Amino acid sequence: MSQFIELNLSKDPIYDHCFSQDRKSVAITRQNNVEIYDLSAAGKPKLLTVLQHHDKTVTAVDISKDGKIVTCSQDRNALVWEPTAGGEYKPTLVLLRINRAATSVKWSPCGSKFAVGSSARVIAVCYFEVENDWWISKHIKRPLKSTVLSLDWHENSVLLACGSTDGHVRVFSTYIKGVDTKPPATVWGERLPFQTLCLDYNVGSWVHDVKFDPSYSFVAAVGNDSAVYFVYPGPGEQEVAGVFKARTSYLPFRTLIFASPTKVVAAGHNCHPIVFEGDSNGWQQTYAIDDPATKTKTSHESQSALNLFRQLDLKGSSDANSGELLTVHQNTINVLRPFQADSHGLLRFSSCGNDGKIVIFDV
Amino acid sequence: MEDWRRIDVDQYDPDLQYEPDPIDVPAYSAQQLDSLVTEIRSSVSRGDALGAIKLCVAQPPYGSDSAIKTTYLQAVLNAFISVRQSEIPNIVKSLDMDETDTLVKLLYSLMSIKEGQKSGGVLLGWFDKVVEIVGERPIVSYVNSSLTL
Repeated sequence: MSQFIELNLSKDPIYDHCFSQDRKSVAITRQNNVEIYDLSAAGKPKLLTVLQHHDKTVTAVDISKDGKIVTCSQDRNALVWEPTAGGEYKPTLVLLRINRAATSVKWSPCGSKFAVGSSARVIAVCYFEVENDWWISKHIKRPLKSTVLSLDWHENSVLLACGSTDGHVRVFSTYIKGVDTKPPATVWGERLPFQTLCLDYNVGSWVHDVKFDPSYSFVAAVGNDSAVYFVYPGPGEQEVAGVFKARTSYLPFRTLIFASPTKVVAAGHNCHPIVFEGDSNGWQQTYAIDDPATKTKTSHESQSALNLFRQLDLKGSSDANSGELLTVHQNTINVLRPFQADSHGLLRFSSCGNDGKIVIFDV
Repeated sequence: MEDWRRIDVDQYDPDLQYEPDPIDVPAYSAQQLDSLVTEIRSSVSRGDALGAIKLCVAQPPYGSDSAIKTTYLQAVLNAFISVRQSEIPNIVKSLDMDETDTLVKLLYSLMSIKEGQKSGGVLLGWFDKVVEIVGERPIVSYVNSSLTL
């Protein structure tokens, strides 16, 4: 169960990563750039190209199903990178019209729109206008009260879930005339003009990440209070039919993904993924992946004189214990993404962390 | 204008004002609180430490005014002081998740008032034991809670 592939790609924190459709290459954020690595040779990641255009830290990256890359950054811009014949990428600037950092970006499943969350308490929904040969952004402003930290698309490319630091989980419609076809009625609503609020639930603490379940009938979110919330919509307008809160004693989670409609993997400041299982009758924590409680410390490193002096210098302690964690990730896990799935659900998923590692775990 | 970075530019824009959501907070009148405080006191004098602590964490008056809160915290402080150090682990173990979270919240609130600071050693003793037994969760929960005393 504890199989994993570890890739040490960076000395800097990786805030977001995304594998290409064929899983042969991975794009990671590194300071103001995005680096793309070729992983086809096992054990030897090869740097393919560096996407350089942002002038502040890149906060998120996403790859669409047709291979276009979108990045957003604290410089308040988003860039769409289209692959060219020579293996390079051609950037197009997207004017988001926001006055604070962009925090997250996600392509819609159809690949014709993307959404950017920002600290300007705005979600910019961007689509390509052919006549002007230009990306246009439309804002969702109300009733957002604070920084938008996470976004997730419904399969119909119209509904968008968002989590923000005002403690709310919301689901909006991003229907844009001329770009989207009218979606069939779902549990989230029938008539969905742009900016329609379909769900609004206050979990009471910062919402770091939110995801639709694989059947798109409810959402799960992780809060800064170390809990995972499951919010089921009701038949009425903006009605909440049920909420389950799975509390844990870990440090707060930063990210979650669904492995199947009855299984969720969450990870964050505790540096290893935790699995929750349940259904509409309730959810609970079942097991941990890469659990440090099942491992023992190897002592060879603590005996080295170099390490002893390093401890003295950095921490002022003569304790032989090094600061190394028993988990694979040595620092906060920032993002989990699905890696490989079959008809029963997710088989493997990937994670990136502040330690500059990408790790691929078995569920 | 040397610390221009500290200027709050948002204060001039009405659209950027953050108003927290209204929350339901339990508020007690002075009479209701009196009976609760008397109950806590009688538990303490009976030597029922667990009962006293359970009463303390059951329904703190989050929404009441500061005079009522201070009276309440004083009673809670007396209950904390009355418990012997060796009894603390057993009491903490018999509290559930919500109760330990509230317990830590009360400890933090007591640390912020004069009376609590005078017996800081006792409070730290409690805090130390709680973290040892249940981990950092109550601290995370305290930091995230909008209900404060």
